[in-house]
Amino acid sequence: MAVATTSLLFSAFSAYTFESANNQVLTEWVRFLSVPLEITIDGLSLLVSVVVSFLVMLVVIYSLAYIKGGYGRYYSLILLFAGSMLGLVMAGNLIQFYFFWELVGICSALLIAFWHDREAARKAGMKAFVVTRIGDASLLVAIFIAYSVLGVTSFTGLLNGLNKFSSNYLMIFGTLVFIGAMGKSAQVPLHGWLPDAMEGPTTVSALIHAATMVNAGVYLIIRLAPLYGSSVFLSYLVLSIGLLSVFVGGLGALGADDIKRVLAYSTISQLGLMFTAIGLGSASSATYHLLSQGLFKALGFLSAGAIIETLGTRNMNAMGGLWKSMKLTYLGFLLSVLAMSGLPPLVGFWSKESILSAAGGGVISYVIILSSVLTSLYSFRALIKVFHGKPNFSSTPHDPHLSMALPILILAISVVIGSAFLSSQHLVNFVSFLPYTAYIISFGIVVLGILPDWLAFQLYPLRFASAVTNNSVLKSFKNFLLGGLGFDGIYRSIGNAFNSFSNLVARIQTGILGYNVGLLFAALLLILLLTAVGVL
Amino acid sequence: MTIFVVTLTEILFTSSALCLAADFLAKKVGIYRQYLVGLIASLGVMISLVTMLSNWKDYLGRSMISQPVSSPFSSLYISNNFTLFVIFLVLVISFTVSIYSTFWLRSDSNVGPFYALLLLLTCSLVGVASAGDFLTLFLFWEGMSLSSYGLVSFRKSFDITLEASLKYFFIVGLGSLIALFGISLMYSLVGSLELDSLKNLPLGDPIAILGLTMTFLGFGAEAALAPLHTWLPDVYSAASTPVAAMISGAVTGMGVFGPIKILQPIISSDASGVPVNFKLLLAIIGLATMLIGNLGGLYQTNLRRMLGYSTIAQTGYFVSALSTFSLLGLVAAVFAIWNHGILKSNFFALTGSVEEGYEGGELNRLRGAGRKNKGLGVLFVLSSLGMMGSPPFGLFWSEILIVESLVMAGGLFIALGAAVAFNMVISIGYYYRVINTVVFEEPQNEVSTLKLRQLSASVALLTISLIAGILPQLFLNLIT
Repeated sequence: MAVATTSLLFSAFSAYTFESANNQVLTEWVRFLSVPLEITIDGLSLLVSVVVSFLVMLVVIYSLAYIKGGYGRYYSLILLFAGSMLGLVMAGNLIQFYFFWELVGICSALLIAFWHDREAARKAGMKAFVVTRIGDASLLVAIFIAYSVLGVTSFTGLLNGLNKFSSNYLMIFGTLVFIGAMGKSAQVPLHGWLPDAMEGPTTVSALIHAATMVNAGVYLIIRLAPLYGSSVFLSYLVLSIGLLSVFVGGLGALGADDIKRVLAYSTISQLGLMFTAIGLGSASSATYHLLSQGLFKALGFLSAGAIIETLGTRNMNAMGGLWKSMKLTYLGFLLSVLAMSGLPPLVGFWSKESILSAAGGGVISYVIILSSVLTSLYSFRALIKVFHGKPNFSSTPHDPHLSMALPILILAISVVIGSAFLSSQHLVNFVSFLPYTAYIISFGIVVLGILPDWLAFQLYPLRFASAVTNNSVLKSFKNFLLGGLGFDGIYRSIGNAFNSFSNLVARIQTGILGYNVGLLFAALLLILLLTAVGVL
Repeated sequence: MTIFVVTLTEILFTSSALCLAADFLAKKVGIYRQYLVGLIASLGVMISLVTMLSNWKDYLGRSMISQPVSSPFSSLYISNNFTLFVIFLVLVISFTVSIYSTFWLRSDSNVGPFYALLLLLTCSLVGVASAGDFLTLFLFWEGMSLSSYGLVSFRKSFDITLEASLKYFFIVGLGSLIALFGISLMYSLVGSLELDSLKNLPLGDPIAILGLTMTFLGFGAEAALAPLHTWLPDVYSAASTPVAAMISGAVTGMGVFGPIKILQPIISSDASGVPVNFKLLLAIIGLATMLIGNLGGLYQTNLRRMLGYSTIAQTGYFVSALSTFSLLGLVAAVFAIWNHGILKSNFFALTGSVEEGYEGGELNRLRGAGRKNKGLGVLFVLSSLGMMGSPPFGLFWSEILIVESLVMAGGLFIALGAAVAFNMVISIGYYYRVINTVVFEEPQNEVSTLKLRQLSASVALLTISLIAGILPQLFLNLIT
């Protein structure tokens, strides 16, 4: 299996042989819709597909030790996912994009429910499928709105024809596409599936729910960035949903006790930051953050997986003091946290700085800095709770075996040198341009994150815990955060509404023949009446 | 010139009679009755299928009319891309069902009448699909309904079956009556029974629209359009599995294809004269039907009833596509009828193969069945995904086409297109539950071991659907 995946990686690398902005049509797939099956290679798709293949390879190697049982199902779904993800990234038209978009959704849902003995896993799979499909439905309608106006579904044709849209249609089209992206990329209010998706194996969370599939929405919006730049309404929409998600995700991560949920909420927050960047008109910095987030978040998940495997729990309250016994995992998680908080010179720093520079010193940049403090706060909270403080377990933890350790090591290295690897030219220009205050601010953010966490969870953990339990306001705030800011309640009430509609329909279904025949005659009478009145 | 569809009906009718004769003889022998008669029935359908496939190419892209018997009313058959495509669906399903039934029937059941009715139903379906005038259409339509009643009430020792078939008989029979009245109204205006002459229908005349609406309503009873849908969940849960597969896959689809045949001449000549209110009426019926289907299915505990509601929802999608009165809408509806027919009869075949061990199709009793038997589990997952309209299955493309036809129609239809797209999300609510319950949950009941042959029907139909999903153009070529 690993071999198969490696060959995937090489196939993506071989794409380097293409000239840039190449578009190879494999077959006239659906002539009726004039949709070809094609491979579009340009800078963006190449970059993303290389990162996807790289991560798939690492995760498959990691899985060799991590996944026990159900191999056929697991690896076939993972590889189907990898193929679909590449198909999605290299799609040159929206229909092909949608086809693979749906396929990755299926793989994601079935993999979330991989450990299907647990009811929570089954429910999470269904929740992910339904919530993302709400976005998908909206995307489908959007595709055909574009098709009805322009007669094309290709990305290039669409962007060339933007001026043919009336402003209303442009707004509707852009909004519908964005709702689609919100579903896949877990943006508020369609984000609730992602924390629950953590019921799946950690490898799946690392690959699909942190580094690749959830980026598909951002990728779509980056592809259509000129569309969002052309309308003030659309760019504000993307910006505001992005910023909202940054804070909802950040607060959720601050409240979560499950190490994977912390990472999941953090993903929501980071994805929100990417949308913020697009809303600010800087698609390139969003791309940059997409790639760097993929690396450091995958690293975080894989390190967390090593802990979960050895301790058998995801609850951070049952961890602590692990740094002595799990040195490699500690290094991995530490680098992930530092990169997430934006410490120079790790990948997270460069991508965050490029977003900050896109904000250009306005109000938004202060909001982004504030969000970075929040990021730093929740990530160091996790780090200190897990690796420092007093151990709260009885077993003897140890670093993982080679096939799990190796991917962690490789990812740790790429988090450090990743920026140079990803776009060295861009980086050189950027470094010379960056003012020294940027470094100071970044250090400040990290320190602002570490200090309160160190006080609360390392030096005075008991006093902090009792303060939270005794103060009713703090306690209810903590529960509010722990409950994911009450969004699940909203989902539940929507579900209940459908339930009562369903009951209503069931009431029509009496099964009494006279009643049914009565309906037939009522319909007939209605038609006669409508004709008599002259409506028909 | 006699077109080959006429030959098809003759082959099928003859095989139907042969089945009765063979059953009479086999009774003397006593053993293997179901296999012997089943073989004859399958052979009959297979010969039709081969005839169909070998002639199809010559008829592709041409619209032909044939009059094998001259009569004052004219008795016409018509052959065009749509009819051939739907006949293909009917024959594929009928072939699968007739083979599948040999596993399902026992040697002491009424084997002869069963197969005779099955072939009579197939013959009538082919006739309805290829009818060229109202008289032929109506005769075959009645033949279709009558053989369906017979098949539905086949397990006549069960009260629930009798009740369901009685309901079916009343509602669909009354529907035919209303349709007949509608037809006569249109006849009074056009002066000809030929479907093709409907292009001269004066659409501005309220009588014409009344005639169209009544025909739609009448035929719609067979298709389970709201509010005439109430018989369908009962029949699906009471009928035996092969019959349910046949009715859900072919008969219900034909209930929509009947109206399509009537609309086709109008749409292909000039649909601009169709009053907006009539389009709106169809759109509202479509919307109501899909909502009732999906919401009704959402909390069903019986798998068969759930599948029934899902069929109602799908009918709603078909009618929505029709309400655009565009060629694209017609293509979308026909392709959707085809894809849905294949997948839904597959689902019933699958349900039937587990019911031997579980009985009655209660979803809770099927808990974990797919975990004990991996092959069954995979089939359940694939079938459910297919019915949700996920790639790479045929229904994915037909639902895309339906949404496309609606959005392209512009105006309020865009909202209807969005409604269709979001209704597909609701349908996930119950189909994903099937995956969760049947495949993922802990097994609770003892599972009787399944025989491989019972799953073969499902495998065959799923393969067709997969081909349609990966290479949709292969099939779209046949209808465009």
